[in-house]
Amino acid sequence: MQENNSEYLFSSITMDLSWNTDVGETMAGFFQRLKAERRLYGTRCSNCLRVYLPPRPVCGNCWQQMNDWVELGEQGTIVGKTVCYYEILDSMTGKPRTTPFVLGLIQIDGADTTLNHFVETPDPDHVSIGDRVETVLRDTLQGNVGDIVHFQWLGPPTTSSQGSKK
Amino acid sequence: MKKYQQLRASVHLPFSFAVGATASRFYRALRDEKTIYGTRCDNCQRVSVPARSFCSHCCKTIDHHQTGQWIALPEYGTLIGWCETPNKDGFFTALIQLEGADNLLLHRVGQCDAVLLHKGLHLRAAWKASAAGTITDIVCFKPERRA
Repeated sequence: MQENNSEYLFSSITMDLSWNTDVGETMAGFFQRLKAERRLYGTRCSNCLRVYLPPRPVCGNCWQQMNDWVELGEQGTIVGKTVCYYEILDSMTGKPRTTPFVLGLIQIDGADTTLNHFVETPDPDHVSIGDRVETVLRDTLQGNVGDIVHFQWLGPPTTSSQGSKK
Repeated sequence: MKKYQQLRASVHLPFSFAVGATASRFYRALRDEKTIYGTRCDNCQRVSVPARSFCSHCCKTIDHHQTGQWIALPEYGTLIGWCETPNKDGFFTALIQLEGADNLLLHRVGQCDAVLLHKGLHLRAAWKASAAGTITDIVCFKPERRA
């Protein structure tokens, strides 16, 4: 046997993992409304009137159970963003997402909380906090998280887009 | 009971890791020589298979450049334990006592009727036609009539 062979070997494995998640009553309500009406809905606390998107069953401030569903706007505002240059597994496809891409915290018109999602834009470096985005839903809704494809970047707020704010 | 909506999700996780100097030499030997190597500890004289960079009994380093400590083991041995896997592919995960080794090799046993399996069964390695330098160069260990 050759003693000083320095060829080092690699072991390559691909794991395919699949699983089912129970989304719970509140998220099921969100997905059913999304699929039926192509609209985002949030839950509203009857005590402090905060609107939660994604919807939650209980208000984080008041510990009050929430049963009111509120129809939300199609557009929203970026309240936080990051440009990613590191390839990650896209949770929608399970495959790496091409870089650079923008992740944003998005406050949909009518909601008091933010959603974390992809911001689709031709120029990642020019996305600013306060910019407006529009929800892009896939053509055939399936009633799951993949229905929201991304949020399309529209640009800085104009008078008309702020006027449409609920 | 009320049935709630379920989401189905899946991910593919590809990864690759460097097996290191000792395992590289072990796998090269599987690929190029079709030989299973173990390493002998200078201190306790135990032979471990697959080859390791240290002795698991006395924690002494086994230098992979010292050829004297590398022991070519026969490709046959006896079945010590086995269990079914969820794959249902006709293979069983098995612990195999190679002749000349002081520990058990974890591999699989197959290409035979499952009812034949018993402790002490004589086995021989079934090699893959095209070797790639991985543990699967040995397809499995297969029962063999003792010569």
